[in-house]
Amino acid sequence: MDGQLSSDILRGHTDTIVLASLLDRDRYGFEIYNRVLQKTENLYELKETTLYSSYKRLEKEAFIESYWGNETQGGRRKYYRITEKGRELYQQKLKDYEFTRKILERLFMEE
Amino acid sequence: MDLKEFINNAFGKYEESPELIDFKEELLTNLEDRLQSLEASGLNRDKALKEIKTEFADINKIAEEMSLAKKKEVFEIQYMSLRSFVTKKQAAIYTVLGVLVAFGMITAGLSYLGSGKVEALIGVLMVFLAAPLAGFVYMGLTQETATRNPMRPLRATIYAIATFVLIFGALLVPMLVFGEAKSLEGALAVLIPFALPSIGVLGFLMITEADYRKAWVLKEAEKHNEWAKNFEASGNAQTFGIMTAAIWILAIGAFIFLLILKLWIYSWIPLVVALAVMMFLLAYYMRKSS
Repeated sequence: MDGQLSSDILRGHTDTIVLASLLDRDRYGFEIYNRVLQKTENLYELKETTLYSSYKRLEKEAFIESYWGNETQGGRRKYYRITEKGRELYQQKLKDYEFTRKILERLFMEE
Repeated sequence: MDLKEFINNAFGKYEESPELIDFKEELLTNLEDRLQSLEASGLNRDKALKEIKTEFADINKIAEEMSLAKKKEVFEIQYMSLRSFVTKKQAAIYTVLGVLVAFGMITAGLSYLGSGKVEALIGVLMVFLAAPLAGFVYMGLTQETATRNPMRPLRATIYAIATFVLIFGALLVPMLVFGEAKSLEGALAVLIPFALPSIGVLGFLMITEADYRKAWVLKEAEKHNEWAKNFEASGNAQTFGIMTAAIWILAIGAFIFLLILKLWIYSWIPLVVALAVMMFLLAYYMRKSS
């Protein structure tokens, strides 16, 4: 990768990244964080504080739900589950992104 | 310093709320996992801890959000709701007291209708009104709410006893007038052993009362008492105080006068009028000061 990941752009899509992390299964905070790390090949990390703000926001708007796991050892983990409303939001965000990307490409190209 | 300590320190200056406790627990498990994964990648514990702390340099940003937004939310919800503070036992006692009052009212009404005697009605009220009301006083004072701390049981007991004696003594006056056909002067004399000591006790307790408002209420009150300062500073508060005193002296005088004339049914009117006039005055002077 020669280019650099723009942290601003990434941060602007935190909610979508969180929603995407929950599509296949429920995850808890560290797993979501770790997924971002792995997918970006450890090159970029989304700040945990940004992630937590995102969980709170999404949960308040009922795009995700949380529940405590029943771990037998150590502290309890708080898992997040995506709701139907969340899946709809994710699809919408995906479409928005696709649209934005096309426009940006057009704008970035030489005439 | 371990993670738990780190988290506690970071949130130290924020008021504990159920949400914050919740969040701290969530944070702790996540950070423990993060610590493990950093250690697994070859960092020693100290380095790993340091790494986490750097990553979490703006932890207080979340704390701020949690604490302010949630606090407001939680308080708004809890402000008017007693539910989270009333235990099942307390709820049962409130219900029993309420039923007792209702029972007293019905029985009093029935015994009056049955016998046609006012003293029968009052006699029932002396027990079934005074006792549950005293009970309500005790329960109310020892009840913790979102905004108030509970009073100590002993002090609340004295309040309750004084309330009982006061109501009992006050009801004794019409009781004696109607039942024993005593003169009003003679009947009013029974106020001396009953009403006077209980009023004295209540007065003493109220004057020496501590402030039971919770810390956050006091903080809120601080913000809202701007108008009170104006009210105080403009001299309107003093004028209002003197006028209120005058109104109540007149009202109580009129009340006693009507009693002496045996115009029982009209005796309450001056008190209600006084209360209403006081409220109008308060509204008028508050407006004038703002």
